[in-house]
Amino acid sequence: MVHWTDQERHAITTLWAKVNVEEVGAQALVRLLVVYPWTQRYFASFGNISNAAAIAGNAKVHAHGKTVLKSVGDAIAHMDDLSHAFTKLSKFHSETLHVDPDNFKHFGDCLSIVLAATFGTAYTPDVHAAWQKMIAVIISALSKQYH
Amino acid sequence: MSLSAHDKELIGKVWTKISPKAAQIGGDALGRLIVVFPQTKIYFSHFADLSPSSPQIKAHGAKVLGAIGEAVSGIDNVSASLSKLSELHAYNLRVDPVNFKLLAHTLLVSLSATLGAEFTPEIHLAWDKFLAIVAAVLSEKYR
Repeated sequence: MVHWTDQERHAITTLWAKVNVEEVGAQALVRLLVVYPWTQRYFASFGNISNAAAIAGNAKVHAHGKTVLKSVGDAIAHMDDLSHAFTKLSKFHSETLHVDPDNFKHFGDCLSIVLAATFGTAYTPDVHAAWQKMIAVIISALSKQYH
Repeated sequence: MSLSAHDKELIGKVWTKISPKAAQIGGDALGRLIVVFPQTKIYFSHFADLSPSSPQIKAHGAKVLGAIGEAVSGIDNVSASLSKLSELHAYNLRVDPVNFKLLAHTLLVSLSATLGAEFTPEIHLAWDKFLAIVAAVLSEKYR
């Protein structure tokens, strides 16, 4: 059970309200595949993701980025009980997708950087810290069912 | 892991662009480090004020980014460029190397907040690699 301060809740939810889920999701996933190229292995069915330009233009990457970021929205909606709410999603990543949990951290870093690019100075150190915590809680919940 | 000619070009281009604001970006990155990763406060217990607006934090952040600028100038041999700093971190400061990754992250966030869409995925990749090399050089004399 995570303790959230009012300031953290406010920072997370106010920024989230301004996020274009499709755009931010796509950008974050594109960055994951470019900056950490071994993650391309998980998306072999997406067609051409062999270089930065191909990745940026790939429709399946864009669509999947939106899917992932919608889950981040779900996480925010369940921020007081996320391990429980994400049980199925965690099992799915562990037992079906076989994603190495280190990559959750890489995606989280990409998301934080996309938020900084999108919001500039509005992504203050305090807002950044609240989001870093949200990302850490998501990573923990997603990793929970691994064994 | 090594830097391609293209990586070095991108790193140099970004450095040229941000160097007028280097002090401010360095201060921002260090300020973020302390707020986002509070465990790093341990290394700055001698600073009176650890908030992002603290003059000491801003000055120290500027210094750190200055050193990174040195590494950019000597990008073909970062180990030689940062040799003294490598010794300082190994024998005096003994900063746990895990913190280099944390500062690399907050610096990428500061660059991203400053450059916006210009901080492209390829530039992000080049800088991520470069900062990992800097971190490796700073820890290479630890043991």
